Amino acid sequence: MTSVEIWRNSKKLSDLLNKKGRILTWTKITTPSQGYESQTPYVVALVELETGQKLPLQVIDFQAELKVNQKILTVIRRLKQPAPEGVIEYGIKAKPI
Amino acid sequence: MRVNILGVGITKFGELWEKSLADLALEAGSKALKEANLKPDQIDAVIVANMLYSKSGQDHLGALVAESLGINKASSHIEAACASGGVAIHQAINSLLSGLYQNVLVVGVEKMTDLSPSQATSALMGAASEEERQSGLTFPALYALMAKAHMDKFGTKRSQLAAVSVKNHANACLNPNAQFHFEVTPEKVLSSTMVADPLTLLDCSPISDGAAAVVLSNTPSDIFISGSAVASDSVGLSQRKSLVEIQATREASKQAFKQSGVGISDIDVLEVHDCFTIAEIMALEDLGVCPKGEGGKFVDSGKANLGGKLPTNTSGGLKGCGHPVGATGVKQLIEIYDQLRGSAIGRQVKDAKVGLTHNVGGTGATVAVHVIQR
Repeated sequence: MTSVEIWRNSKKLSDLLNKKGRILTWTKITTPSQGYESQTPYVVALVELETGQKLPLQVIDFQAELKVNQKILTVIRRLKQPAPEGVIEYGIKAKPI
Repeated sequence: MRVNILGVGITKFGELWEKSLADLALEAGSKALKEANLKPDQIDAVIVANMLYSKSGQDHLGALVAESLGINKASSHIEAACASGGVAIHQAINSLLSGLYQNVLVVGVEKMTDLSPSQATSALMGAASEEERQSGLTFPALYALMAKAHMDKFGTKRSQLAAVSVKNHANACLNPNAQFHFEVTPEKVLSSTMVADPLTLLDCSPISDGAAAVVLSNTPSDIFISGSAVASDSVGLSQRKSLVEIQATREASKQAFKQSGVGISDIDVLEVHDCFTIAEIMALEDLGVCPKGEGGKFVDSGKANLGGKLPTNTSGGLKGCGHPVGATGVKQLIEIYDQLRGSAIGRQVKDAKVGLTHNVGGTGATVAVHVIQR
C-alpha cells in the first residue's frame, strides 16, 4: 500500500476494532506472503464478526489448539514489515478469547 | 452457437529462461496461424490473455503481440486473473458472433520466472481482495481454507486430494509440452513440504512460463465451440455464499450447457482448473459430474483417470502441465481440440466427441466454461 492508501484505510480501522467474532475456518501458513517472513509460521482465519460481517484476519496471541467457532476479539496490530515508503501499516488481527 | 477452431499452437510449459514473453507469444501465435493456413493480414483481431506482465513495466500487450506477428488490425489485452485465457476466448467468440470479424487469434501467454518466487506469489495475490492481501493470505492459503471447510463438511480426506496430484502428474508424463515429466505417489504428496495446511507443495500448481494460441473463425471447420459462458462472484472468499462450492462454476456451466444443447453426461473429456488439488474436487462437483461432497471419492476411485468414466485433465492439468496463468484457459481448449481430432498421442480418449473446459480466476470470482464438439 502507498502512504495515501494506508492513511485512507486507517479511517476504517476504528469501525472494526474491539468487535467479538468467531472463527469459521483457518489455515497455518508456512510459506509466507512478502513482508510476513518474520511472523512465519502464522495463522489466518475467516472470521464472522458479531455484526454479521465476514473477513479474513490473522490470528494472534494464542497458545491452545484453534477450533471452528473459537471466539475472538479484534485488536489493532502492526500488519507486517513497514511499507517501502516507511509508513507503518496498522490493521486488525484476531485474538482468541 | 458454432464458432470454428481453425488452428492451434502451443509452446512447452516450464521454466523457460531463454524465452521472453514476446518469444513465447510469437511461437504459439505463428504455429496457430500456420495450422489455420492464414496470413497475418487475414486476422481481424488478436486478443492477448495475460495477468502479470504489467509488473515488468510493459503494458499494451495487445499491440506488442500484434506487432510480433505482423497483425495490423484490432488488438487488445484481457485480464481476469487465472481465467484470462477463458475470458479472452469468450470475448473472441462474442466478436465473431457479432459478424464484425471473420478470424480472431487468441494468444494466452505468461512469463512468470522473470520474477522471484516470492514476487510471483505476491503478484498472484492481485487476483484476491485487498483485505485478503492485508491479512497475509497467499493463494495456497485461500484454497487451504476451502479445503479445510470441505474436509470438515464432507469428510474429504487428504489422501483424496493427493489422488488428484497423482493422476495429473501421471497424465503430464504423456504430454510432451507439460512442465513436469515425473510421477508422484500418494505418500510423496502427503509428505511433501506443508505450504498452508492441509495443502503441501505437491497439492499446488507450479510457477510456469508458456503460451497457447488458437485461431477462431466463422469459416466452417470440423471442430467447433458450441457453448461459451463466463460468470462472476465476489473477489474475496469472505463474501461468498459458500466456502465449499464455486457458484460461478455452476452459473457458467449452466449457460454453456444451455447454449450447446448438451449436458454433463454427454461430456467425453474434461479439462478443469486444478490450481490446487481441492479445486479439481470442487470443480467435478460444481460441474455436476458427481454430487456435492463426493468429488474426493470420484477421483480416488479412478473415475477421472485416463481409462476411467470421465477422463479429467488429460493434459496433466495445471498441476502437471504447469500454469502460466494467462495461457492456461487457451491450453485447456487446445487439449480438448487435440482429443476431439484424435491427435492426443499417448493419452487419447477413444472416440471423444464432446469436451468441456473450466477456467477459474482467483478463488472463483470469474469462471469461464466452454463446450467443444465435432
